[in-house]
Amino acid sequence: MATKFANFLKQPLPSFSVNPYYESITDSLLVYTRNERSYAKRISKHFTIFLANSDDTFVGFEIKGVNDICKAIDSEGMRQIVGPFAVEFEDGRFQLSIMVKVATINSEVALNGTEFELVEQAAKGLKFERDELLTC
Amino acid sequence: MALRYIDSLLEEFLGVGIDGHSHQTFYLPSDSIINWIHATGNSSLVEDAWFVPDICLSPVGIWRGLQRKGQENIRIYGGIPTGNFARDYNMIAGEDITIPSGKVLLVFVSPEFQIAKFRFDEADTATPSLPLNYSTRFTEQLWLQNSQTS
Repeated sequence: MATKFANFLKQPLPSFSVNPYYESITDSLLVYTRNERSYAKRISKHFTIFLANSDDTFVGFEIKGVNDICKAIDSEGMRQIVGPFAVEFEDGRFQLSIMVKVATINSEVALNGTEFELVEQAAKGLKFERDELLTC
Repeated sequence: MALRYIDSLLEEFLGVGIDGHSHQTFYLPSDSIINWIHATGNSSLVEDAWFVPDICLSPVGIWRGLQRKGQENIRIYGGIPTGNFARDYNMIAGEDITIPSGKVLLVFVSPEFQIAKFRFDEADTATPSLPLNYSTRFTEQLWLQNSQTS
């Protein structure tokens, strides 16, 4: 019986806050912008969005293959592909909006305009120390 | 912003191995996704977390590999939760289980069976207890429940 896990889940929660999480085993970055039951919709091998079960509205997103994307942003080739977005480093930190841009290249499923605006809005201003994301 | 991953055990629980029937222990570190979910007050993901042990114990399918570099050995357990774990701890009563329609829960685990992440995902239209494009989106299908094979 997983009593400790159950007791942990039963603990009172603080107020909801938006705080991205880097999951190192699957090398992915998770962002939830709302506290809403949701499901994953795969956009590409590097990008997934979370939509509300109740009405399919935007809840959050996931960038997958973070290490690959960081390395790609570093490479000269990718700079040519993503243009000005690849050079928007600030004080050595990655802007999440840049990673979103790279992750959504070659999407298998098109994001609609509203979804893309919401992703960009959620990603804006979120920055990460390079060493926190690059694990290999 | 806490992005570091620290391996310290919160819990271990029993599920099935990649053959679908042998016993396998799953590990859940305390400084992992579950701690982040709690710290960010995401009660919606906590609700989903109650179903994770169900999928580890009674999956409908098990796959290997996320088709990304370095992710070849991730295991993916998928299926529709029974609600038994939440029921055991009086979080739901009787058949009162809120599984979103047309969705399946996926649990991603390391080769050492450490829980990495989980989420509800779109179900396959032809086989609604399995994830969308289940036959092509992962590197290898390791096991499918008998009733799912034709």
